[in-house]
Amino acid sequence: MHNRTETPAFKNIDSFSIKEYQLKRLDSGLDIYLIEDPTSDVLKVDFFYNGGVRSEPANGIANAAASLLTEGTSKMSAEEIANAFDFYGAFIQASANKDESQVTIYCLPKFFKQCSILLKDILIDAQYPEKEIYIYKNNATQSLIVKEKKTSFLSKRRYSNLLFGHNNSYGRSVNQEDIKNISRETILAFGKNVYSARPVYVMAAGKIPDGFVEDIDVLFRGLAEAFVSNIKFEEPITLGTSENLNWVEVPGANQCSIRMGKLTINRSHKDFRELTVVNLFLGGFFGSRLMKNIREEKGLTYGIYSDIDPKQKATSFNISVELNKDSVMIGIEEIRKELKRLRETPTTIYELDIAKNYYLGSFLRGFDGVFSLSNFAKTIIDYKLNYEYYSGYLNVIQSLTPERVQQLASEYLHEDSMITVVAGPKNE
Amino acid sequence: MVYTRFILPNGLTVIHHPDTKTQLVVINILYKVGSRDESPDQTGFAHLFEHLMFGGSLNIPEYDTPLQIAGGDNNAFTNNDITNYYLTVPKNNIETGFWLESDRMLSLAFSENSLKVQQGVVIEEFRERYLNQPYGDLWHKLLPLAYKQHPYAWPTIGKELAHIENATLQDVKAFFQNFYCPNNAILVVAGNIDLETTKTLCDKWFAPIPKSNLIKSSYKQEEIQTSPRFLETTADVPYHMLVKAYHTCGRKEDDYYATDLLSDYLGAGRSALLYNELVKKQQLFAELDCYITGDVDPGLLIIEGKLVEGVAIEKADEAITKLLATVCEAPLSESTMERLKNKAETTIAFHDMKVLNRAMKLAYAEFLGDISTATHEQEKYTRLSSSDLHRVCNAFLTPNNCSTVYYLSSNA
Repeated sequence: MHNRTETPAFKNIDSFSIKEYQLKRLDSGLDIYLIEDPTSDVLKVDFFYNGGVRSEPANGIANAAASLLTEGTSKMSAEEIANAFDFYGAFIQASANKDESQVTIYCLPKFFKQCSILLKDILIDAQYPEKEIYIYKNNATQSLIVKEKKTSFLSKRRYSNLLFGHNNSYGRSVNQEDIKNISRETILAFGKNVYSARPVYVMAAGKIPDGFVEDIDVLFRGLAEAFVSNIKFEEPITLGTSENLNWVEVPGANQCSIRMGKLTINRSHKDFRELTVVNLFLGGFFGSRLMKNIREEKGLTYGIYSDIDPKQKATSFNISVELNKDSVMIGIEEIRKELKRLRETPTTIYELDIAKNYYLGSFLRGFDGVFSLSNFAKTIIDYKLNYEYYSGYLNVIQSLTPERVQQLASEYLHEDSMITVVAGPKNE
Repeated sequence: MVYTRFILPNGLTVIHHPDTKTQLVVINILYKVGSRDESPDQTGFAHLFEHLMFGGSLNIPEYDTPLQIAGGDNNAFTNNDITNYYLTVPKNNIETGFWLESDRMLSLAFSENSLKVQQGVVIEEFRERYLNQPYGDLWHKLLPLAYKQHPYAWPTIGKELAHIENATLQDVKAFFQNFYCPNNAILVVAGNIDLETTKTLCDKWFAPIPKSNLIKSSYKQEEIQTSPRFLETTADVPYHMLVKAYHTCGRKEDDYYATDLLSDYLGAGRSALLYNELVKKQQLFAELDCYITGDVDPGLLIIEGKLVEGVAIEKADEAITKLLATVCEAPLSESTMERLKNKAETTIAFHDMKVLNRAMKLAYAEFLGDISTATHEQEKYTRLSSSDLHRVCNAFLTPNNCSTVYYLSSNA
């Protein structure tokens, strides 16, 4: 048998090729971004709307409107709508996040036209029936109460609340009272504003059927300009300091859930891409410092991760881990040690190369397949970037030095600049 | 889906599936061992073992690092029947994947420390996913009620923490020596790699691994259930939960596809019968799901739902039984059949977009004994008639075939 102790020769990734979108602009001004794979036989179409959680007039409205969008028009009941899409084997989904709302259709290309006709009726005539709202509110309340039994949910909720502040829409969460106060009037007004207008843009990935652009044109013909909310975004203000632990007491829980982090630079900042490499090195993949220390050396957790979560108006750096309740203090101490080490001790070239090569490989995996490519396209559109943002990542990653990692860590990832939340049983 | 299948002299089945659209290559290795191969006093072992497969092999101290530095990524899962490992790597670096996977098939490092650490990790996984979640121990209650003889009676994570704590390095070695051998595995190489290269690399890395004397585990098949089974349990959860589990057929039987489509009719999406009748119209449940476990030996069709506050669980139970009885009365309409089939077609098409998914599908179809089912899946659904669904409905969804759990809230 030949020598198995030596690593086979491998090549470093030295070029990125990313398939770019095609833009079709309709006379109405609506932009349609196409990411085509003619060899596939599926189609995913996203309609993006302003009007996420930060544009809602009251807590919980954006999600309620999304969830109830397909629950009845003046001609069709919720069940009839569901059956109609099902008949074409299509899936329709509406959802809201902090920044926007979105409607997505997954279908076979041959059925898109029929789906778009069904969709038009829903967008202009959604009725949000009282009966459906009643059921929605009841079930949403129950689902919230179940979630409130989970330490991971409780730590995340308190963490967001402290990180962005009580008045900021990224930090607020929906409580039982909010759900109780949801009224048809508010949903209807918000829903009409958002969904009965044109989307901000449309993105289609997969096999684009003949006549697609025209179908989209027909779908939105005659609708108002895309909705823009007049609700002001309150600047985030982090509450609390690194000195005190914020406990959410959950007596009897089996594990503690820890969240630690801070607000950080936005995607448009010159250091942002480099910071994502440092994040990966610290906690962004299975071979990260945090995972190696706390899982693979000490066996204290099933998993520990850090991430950078860029939203339109603010960006956060977050660490999350679930630990045995007796290991909380060791866990926090070890996380702090890793942050300190990142700042004070230069990493070896080899250790940094592992993260760099892994990251380059993850871009290749990301550039593989139209659905994943549509996520990259979305970032470029939403943040008004161009594809150089991604092709330039190659150079950003390759040229990062151990000294630069230290610099970035001391500028952006100082443990004393972070807040910590723990949800779980406090040790008696 | 194009593929070539060949078998190495040591018994390793290899499947090559080319796709030049991608810049990546996938290696998927399915080992024909799962939690059904465990002994009842050492449960959770197949899954614990999966973790140890990353703790270094005979010639390579650490699995993950060499793959990461070659730009690759990997993961694995264990279920009742199989343990499946997969990696993706840029096409230029595929040999790293062959090197890593073949070395751990050859032999593990068997380190005491790795065992100790991974026991800790798996115990935290057990806590995180099963103990520290409301209703998280449901499967620990349901499975032993539904299965009296078969090893499906315990969840893959294991019956209890002690079984994981008590595993020894001796057990680990014995398990490896028996189950982790080329003649008990299926290797799929998929993506941007040609057949020639695949064969050369298989000959170089996998062919020298000796065949082993595999002793297949023996266990009892479940006897037919002849009367309703019932369990009531109480926990600190906000709402009552009702679970009904019906024995169905095995994954290799033709009726599997009819059962799958039936479960879609009952439980998938907003057009599903149970959702529309019991969540929307009668408002007995706040959420309600129906799905099949899809195990190789006869599995379960499960209906589970959390009740609307204040609803008596007996009333909700009765409503399900009554509704299922009406479903059993008459075959579904042709248009319902068409919509179920169309939906299955879309689901398959989206699933097959990713080369990794296709690689896993090929491995699993080969494991089931007929690789051609991977490419003919759609036909299996297309040729179903409403009478097929009617037949499985009447065969499986009967009270005598049902295990019911009342998972009650101590606060209600």
